Amino acid sequence: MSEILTREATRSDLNYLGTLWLNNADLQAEFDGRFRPAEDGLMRWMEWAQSWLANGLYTVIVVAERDDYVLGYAVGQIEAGRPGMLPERVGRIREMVIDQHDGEGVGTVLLDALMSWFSDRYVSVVLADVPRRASVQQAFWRSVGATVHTDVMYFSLGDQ
Amino acid sequence: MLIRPARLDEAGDIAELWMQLVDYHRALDPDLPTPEPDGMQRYARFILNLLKRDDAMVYVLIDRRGRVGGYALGMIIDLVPEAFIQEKAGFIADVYIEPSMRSQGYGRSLVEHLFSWFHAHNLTLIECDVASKNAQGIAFWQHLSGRPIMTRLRFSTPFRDAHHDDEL
Repeated sequence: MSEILTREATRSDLNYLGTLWLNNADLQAEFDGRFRPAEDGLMRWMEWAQSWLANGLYTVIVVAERDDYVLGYAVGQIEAGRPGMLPERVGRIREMVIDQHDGEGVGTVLLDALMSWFSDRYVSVVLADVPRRASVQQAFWRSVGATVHTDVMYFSLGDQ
Repeated sequence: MLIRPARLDEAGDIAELWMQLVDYHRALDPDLPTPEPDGMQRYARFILNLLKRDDAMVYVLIDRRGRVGGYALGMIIDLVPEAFIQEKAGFIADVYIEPSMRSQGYGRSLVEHLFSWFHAHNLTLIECDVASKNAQGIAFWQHLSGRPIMTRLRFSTPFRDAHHDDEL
């Protein structure tokens, strides 16, 4: 089997990546009901993805492919750290979406590419949010060396 | 004891409590972020700016001597990324009570004040972060009906020199 290669996304990738995003968003909603794609979510995602491509200093979309067939993508972003704290800038893995039909090894390759991108930009700490109930994702991130940092707690005041 | 919205001239007192909060977290987990050398001053300016806005609220706990003995900071933010159904939500950024004033229900009261403030702004979805090694903190939030929904994971890149962090 051919090697999985990574490269930075271009505008011509966005239509396919958007379809991957939409399929994944529906799955994600099963783990966290707050994340329901909007009716025009795909269009909005495409607009944001174009702005990410235009903002190459702080955002990257990495595509993984084998034999010119796209297997997944990941979005990394540099953002401000918490006020008064070091580091002043942290990396954020904003999205990682993998074609479920041919995904073996793709996550690790995408993560390596993102970590190199962050490292080249002097970003020392990278964060990723993972739904607690997504056991496969949790296992993946921990297997590649992520350590647990914080728990995100959620409250509903709807009944008050 | 009294809980009320913070005044502008209390930003420095709140920043001193924030430093205690940072030390508390660092004692629990040395991998949690360290403050900048002038972190307290930066945080005081951050609080001062927030106090002038109407999308954030800081409640303070005033002890019998009139000192600020605790605080809670809440903000209105978009928690959900752009392509999803948008719902404004409340985010509780910091809650801290001085050690001598703990275990008396003041933390809960501060948070309930924030909940009421969020509710008055028609916000029903609230989020906060708690250090995974802060068992006491997790129990506190769960007692307030919080449920853990996400895990924030952390990586270190091969680049470790924070002094270059501003070069981009």
